[in-house]
Amino acid sequence: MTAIISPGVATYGAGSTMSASPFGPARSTEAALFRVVHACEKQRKQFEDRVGIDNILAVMEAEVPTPAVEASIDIYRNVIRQNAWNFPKIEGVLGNVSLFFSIWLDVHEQYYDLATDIFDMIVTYGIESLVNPTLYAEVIRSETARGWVGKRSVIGPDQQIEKRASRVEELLGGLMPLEDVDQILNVGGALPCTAVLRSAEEDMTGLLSVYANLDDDGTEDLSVRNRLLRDYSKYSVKDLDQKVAAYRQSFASAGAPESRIAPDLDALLGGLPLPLRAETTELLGEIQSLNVLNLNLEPRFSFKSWAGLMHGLVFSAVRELPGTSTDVYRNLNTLKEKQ
Amino acid sequence: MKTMSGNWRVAAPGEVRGRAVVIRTQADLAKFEPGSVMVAVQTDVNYVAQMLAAAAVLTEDGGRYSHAAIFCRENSIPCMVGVEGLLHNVTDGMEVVVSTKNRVLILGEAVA
Repeated sequence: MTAIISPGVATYGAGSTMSASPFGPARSTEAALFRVVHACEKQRKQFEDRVGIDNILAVMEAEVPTPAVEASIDIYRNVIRQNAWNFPKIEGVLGNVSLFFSIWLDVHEQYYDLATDIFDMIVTYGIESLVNPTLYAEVIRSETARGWVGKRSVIGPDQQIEKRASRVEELLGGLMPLEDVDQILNVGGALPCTAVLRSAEEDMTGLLSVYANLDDDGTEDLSVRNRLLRDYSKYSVKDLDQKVAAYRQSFASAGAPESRIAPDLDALLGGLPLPLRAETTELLGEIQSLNVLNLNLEPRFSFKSWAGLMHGLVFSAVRELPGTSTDVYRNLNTLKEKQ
Repeated sequence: MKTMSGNWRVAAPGEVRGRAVVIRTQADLAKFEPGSVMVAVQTDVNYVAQMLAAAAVLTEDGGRYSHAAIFCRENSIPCMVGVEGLLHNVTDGMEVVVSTKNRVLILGEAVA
């Protein structure tokens, strides 16, 4: 699956056939999500196999200060929100969740590739090497594509969800009390809890509970530790230590959270004609899948992840130069002039 | 004593009281005390351990499917999202009464 994505270019349209999978296009949004998870994890495993996780941890500890890891999401969010990005235009995607997931994957495979290139530059030339116009231009291109499919973009998950939630309200509005419609829409936020498709929070707290207890016994489960490091700590041992300490304090004071019983969709939709139930159920399924993207894949593979940290280091390195601003395009010109 | 009210979204119900801890960046999480009321623009996966120990979570941004709303709904942590002017009105250490039933916040004095 390849895509060349540059500002101002509409790369995909409605009806585009995206998948290079031997199984053909995904038949459901859940299947499409599985493919995204599989591809992202496979790409990351290739990186870990090439470099070695101990080497990644060592480089992160030596070259990337803990405050930069801690502040990475906030700093990156400022970069995203304070610049006017030249996003490509696209039509049709709002109506097709599986197609959107394929585009998201294409974008994030390239995003991750660049993150590993940045890491390699740090290993070879040190963190000072991140200030150069060629790399900065690449990071702008990469972030433009990521932001184009990002949570709040015009084709992003929030818009996709809003469109579907509005349709559910339109379908059910006159047929039942608003409180019931509200309850039904909440089902879209009740994420599945399987080994693969679940929220990052569910996954992370589950892993932390195992890891924190094992550590107490003086043993350490490396697979759990490594999952926490790669998925939720940006390969920063200090970040993981802080999370474990905070988790222990939380549970010492509050105990395990009281889990809420999900609304019974079957009962809520009970009296409705079957075609209406079918459409509502399908829309809620799509909303759930989009929420899995927002609450699982985004923190693990997008700008809040290690890949995002790598991009953010380049933005930060350039932003620290005199004469730069929140306008990344202007900064690029400044860098080129100084070269 | 000051009262805030509005048509905010109630993600999970509850009537609680606690000391406000304002989280502007991830680094602020270190000052969070269990039993406090978390006050933030928005939350993400890095806030989870502190959210689990919070008396309530209030966010300025967010809607039905925001991170705070989904996580608090799933874990029965009293939560309101989309609270306009939240970080302008609430400061660290303030005593806050959270009433999701009436969509009201009663803000007391900050205690050092």
